Amino acid sequence: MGRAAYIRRRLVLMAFVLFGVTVVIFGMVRILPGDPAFLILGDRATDQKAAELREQLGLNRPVLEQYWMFVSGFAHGDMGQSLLYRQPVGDLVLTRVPVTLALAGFAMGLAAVITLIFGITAAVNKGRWPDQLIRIGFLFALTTPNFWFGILLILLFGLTLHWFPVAGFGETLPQHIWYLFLPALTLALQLSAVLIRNLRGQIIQTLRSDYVRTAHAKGLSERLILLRHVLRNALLSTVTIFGLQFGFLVGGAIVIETVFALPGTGQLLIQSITARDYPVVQAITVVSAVLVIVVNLVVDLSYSFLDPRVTYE
Amino acid sequence: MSEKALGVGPAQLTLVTPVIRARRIRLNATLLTGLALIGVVILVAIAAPLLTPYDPIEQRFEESFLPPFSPGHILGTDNFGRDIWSRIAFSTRLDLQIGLLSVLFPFIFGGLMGIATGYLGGKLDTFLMRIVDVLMAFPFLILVIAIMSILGPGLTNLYIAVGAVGWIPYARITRGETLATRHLEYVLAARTIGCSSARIMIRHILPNVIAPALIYVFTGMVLAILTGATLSFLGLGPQPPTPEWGAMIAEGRQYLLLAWWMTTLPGLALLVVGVALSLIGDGLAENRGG
Amino acid sequence: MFAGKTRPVMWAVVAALLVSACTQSGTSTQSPTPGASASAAPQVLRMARNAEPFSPFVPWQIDDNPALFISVNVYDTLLRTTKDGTNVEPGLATKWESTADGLTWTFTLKDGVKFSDGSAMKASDVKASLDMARGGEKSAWKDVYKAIKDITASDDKTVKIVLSQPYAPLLSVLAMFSGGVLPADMAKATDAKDYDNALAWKTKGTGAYYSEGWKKGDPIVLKRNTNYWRSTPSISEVRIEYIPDDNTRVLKLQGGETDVVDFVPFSQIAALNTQPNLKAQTFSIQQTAFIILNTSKPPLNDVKVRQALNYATDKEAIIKNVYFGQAKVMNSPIPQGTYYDKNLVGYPYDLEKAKALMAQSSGAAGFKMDMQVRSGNTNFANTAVILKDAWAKLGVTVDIQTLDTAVVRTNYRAGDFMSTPTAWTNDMNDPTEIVNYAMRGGASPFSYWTRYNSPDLNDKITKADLEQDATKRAALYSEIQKIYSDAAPIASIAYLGATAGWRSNVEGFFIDGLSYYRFEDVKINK
Repeated sequence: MGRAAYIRRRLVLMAFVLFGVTVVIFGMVRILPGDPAFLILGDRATDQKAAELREQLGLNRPVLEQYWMFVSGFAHGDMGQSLLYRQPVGDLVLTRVPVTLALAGFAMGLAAVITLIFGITAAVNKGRWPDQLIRIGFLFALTTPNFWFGILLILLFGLTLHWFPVAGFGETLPQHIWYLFLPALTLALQLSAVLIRNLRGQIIQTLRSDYVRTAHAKGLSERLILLRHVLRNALLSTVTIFGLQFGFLVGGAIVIETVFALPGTGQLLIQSITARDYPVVQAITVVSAVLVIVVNLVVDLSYSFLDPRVTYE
Repeated sequence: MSEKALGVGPAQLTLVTPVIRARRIRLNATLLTGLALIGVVILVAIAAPLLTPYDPIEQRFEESFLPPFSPGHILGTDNFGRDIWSRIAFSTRLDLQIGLLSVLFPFIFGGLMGIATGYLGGKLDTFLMRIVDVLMAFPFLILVIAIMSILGPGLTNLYIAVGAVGWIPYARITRGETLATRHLEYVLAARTIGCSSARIMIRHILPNVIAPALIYVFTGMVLAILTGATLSFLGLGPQPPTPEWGAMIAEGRQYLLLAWWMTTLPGLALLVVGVALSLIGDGLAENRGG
Repeated sequence: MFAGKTRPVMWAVVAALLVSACTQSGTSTQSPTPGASASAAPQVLRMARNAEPFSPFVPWQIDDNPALFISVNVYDTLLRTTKDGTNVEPGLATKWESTADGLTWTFTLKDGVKFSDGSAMKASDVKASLDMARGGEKSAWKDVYKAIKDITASDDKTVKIVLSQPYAPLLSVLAMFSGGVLPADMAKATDAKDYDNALAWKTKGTGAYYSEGWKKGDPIVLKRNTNYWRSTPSISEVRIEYIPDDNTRVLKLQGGETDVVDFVPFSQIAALNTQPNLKAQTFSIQQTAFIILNTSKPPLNDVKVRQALNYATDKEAIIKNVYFGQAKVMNSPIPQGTYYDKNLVGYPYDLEKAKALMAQSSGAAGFKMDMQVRSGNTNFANTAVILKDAWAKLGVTVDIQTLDTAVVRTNYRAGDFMSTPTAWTNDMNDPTEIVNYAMRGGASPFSYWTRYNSPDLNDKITKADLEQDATKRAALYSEIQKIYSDAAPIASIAYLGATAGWRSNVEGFFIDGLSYYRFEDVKINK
């Protein structure tokens, strides 16, 4: 199957996946214990008032009808009204998506650079001090809770050295980038820790394989072998993990957005789950699901560039 | 291959299956260090009551916020005057359990699923990969939090929540590797001589694709403990005053500027386990292709 | 291929980011606080707060603190609560008088008061706003106005309020934020079913500040109202950022990125005061922290059990370890405001007495009790941990359950809990709110979900609302406090304060007795 046909088929499948996502998320938020009406109205509301609100919000309609309203509304670009904020969900969510995307993208970019540099360095220096240093250093990044690590970075680079702001998002584009650096770095270091371990292992394994030995025997330069033969093979599983981590990043962003006070979706999502603000939870998860699906499609396609052995079926 | 070759079976086939030789595990320095470290941790877990001078949940208000190396409290005390060393030692039991249980089942299930779908392809692959796609489309932590919110806080529910999503990376990794392996000569050879799919998958594919997944297991254990920490942080983990590293880190967070040791020391305990698990993973990786 | 082609690109991106980052950091650290240089330059006050408003920004629709904290800076009420929160003083009304029967009240409005857009504020605006507050479809505060029968604007300067029965707390009610005055047409428009709540953020009030609009996620910007009827505020613009994390908020203050922060963790007050450019303080507000005991669940239906739990609660220890000394021992069920009885003995810590009471009670054999804690509130969680230890000495096994607020609230209503830590803050300077809501039994919310119901107490609560004589009211409220305290449907803990921290060049920041703060008296010194 050609790549174009493959992409077409994947887009069709994407529709099915999105359907699955809406069913899962709709079902999950409906079986969450706790009544949003009491949360909106506060402790002081009477039962009657809560019943009125449920009626008004459409919470006591049949579940299938609610699901249909959610899906058909979404298809028309109407994400409904936030139960808590009583304003259109679109307004609440869409301004925040770019923040989380920028954070995740920035973190992935930083992680790619960090991974390549340190992964290769560690692999070619296997067992020697640079390898050990990288291993221990990134183990620290991996096993440190990111909210704690984030605060350490704030203390060092924000409060003591004044290189970066303590927290917030800024107001202009250069400011955004400047404000995003520390949170992105926090996520990137943790992500790199996973990726470097994998890449290092893969490179070492590939270096031992027969065709690399053959290449050596042919007298090809070390650098050429590394770039053309080794990396290309080693990156296969690393790229898989890289793609997988996008969802991890969006999740990790919840905590990081809170620590660095970034107005992204993570913070809004966790707040909306707690507040049982169904339409907002649904909107954010569906939007991020679309993003994750697209990223994974790109990852799957990248297989064929990295490993000609892979065919699409 | 002839009919005879079929009768010879796996012994001979291993000769044409290059990586299978690596299944013999040899101890190298990395692996030994890792095993030694984890051994110490396990020892602490078992002997916790003998090693600790205090009850981990005993409150002594007059001794709150003592820094490390205070008399009687080698690692200091927390906001309730509880001995931090006692709490760390006792929570070793719980955290090892969290790391192990939340990775074991996902690894077995996900790994086998990835090989089966990668090798067999077809409808099974499509179907399972769609399930994976649906689950993967949710940010990991969100799904775990949502499941925990539905099931309620507690340890058993934590395993269920982490496990429900945790098998996916293993499935993805082994599937990706299987896709690349299935056309290799020795697999084709095995197929030619008429080995059953199940046999090929277990004898020939599994040993070749399991290593990257295995390396990820040890990362996965650390991540599981960290996820546990985050859930504790959100109040969804073991309930207070149960000592658990993640919960201790989360509890200490509000006193970060006042008592750094409350977050740092359980963090270091987590680091030791992380280093140990990772060294084991590395050691096994070094073994590969011996 | 991936590595070969992508790496230089990545490098370029990173380099660009680093360069822009460095230049940015250079310019910003040099730029001083705006307004600190030239005297005529506008002064901007930057504040970081722990939560964003979520109620519609219409005074009588507001039911969350972040919104009402802003409301008092934008909308004025007929009367104001004094700074200490124990009395009322003139607001939009300069004087008021009532007929001898206490049924008809006449308020005279101040001359020359204008809305932020320059239009004159009239009695008809006051009437329209109060009518919406007491009868509007969307009002969250109808109950407190239910004694009002009719409001008329006899001329532009006079508002007449007629009551259906004498109502002692009337003046306090009229000083509540929910009675904020909007232009009549806007007040009416907000109650329409299809009203776009985003419009309410383009405010038109008579207060010291106004807002030109706000979108969730953005900082809230308040601009000085040049038409303000009191002296023009010194701060020309207030920018309020949302920083939910306690540590981050304090770090931003330390880093000089904000001028004022609220909800400083109690544990950090002392440390902040040791820093040269910072100040932090706990202000007294009318707030209580306590444990709700579900009196419908045996053995909590036994008053001796509840009293024993109260005596076994080491309030000093909780205040020291949870609130870092920034709280006071709670002796009465109502906050330290008007008609608070400071002579009530309450439940001083006495373990022996507690054990003796428990031994005579239906809980003598020991029992298991859940304590449901709202997730995210560390003070409540820490209180629960201490009580688990303390009450174990009485043979009570406390099972701490951390749950989402939505679940806890649903359980309150279903009566599906035994105990839960909570807090109460007065919204007005009169005990009528707390006694009617949190102590009166028989109907929802069932004495704040304790399910305690004493007809005698209910009766006295009604009487106190009708009583016009201050001395007699005080006596009634003392009795009410005594009856409730003796019945112990709650385990009393502490009177809490509200905390804030600011850079020491900020002058005049003050949280009043009802936990509001106004920016009109705040200055930034050089």
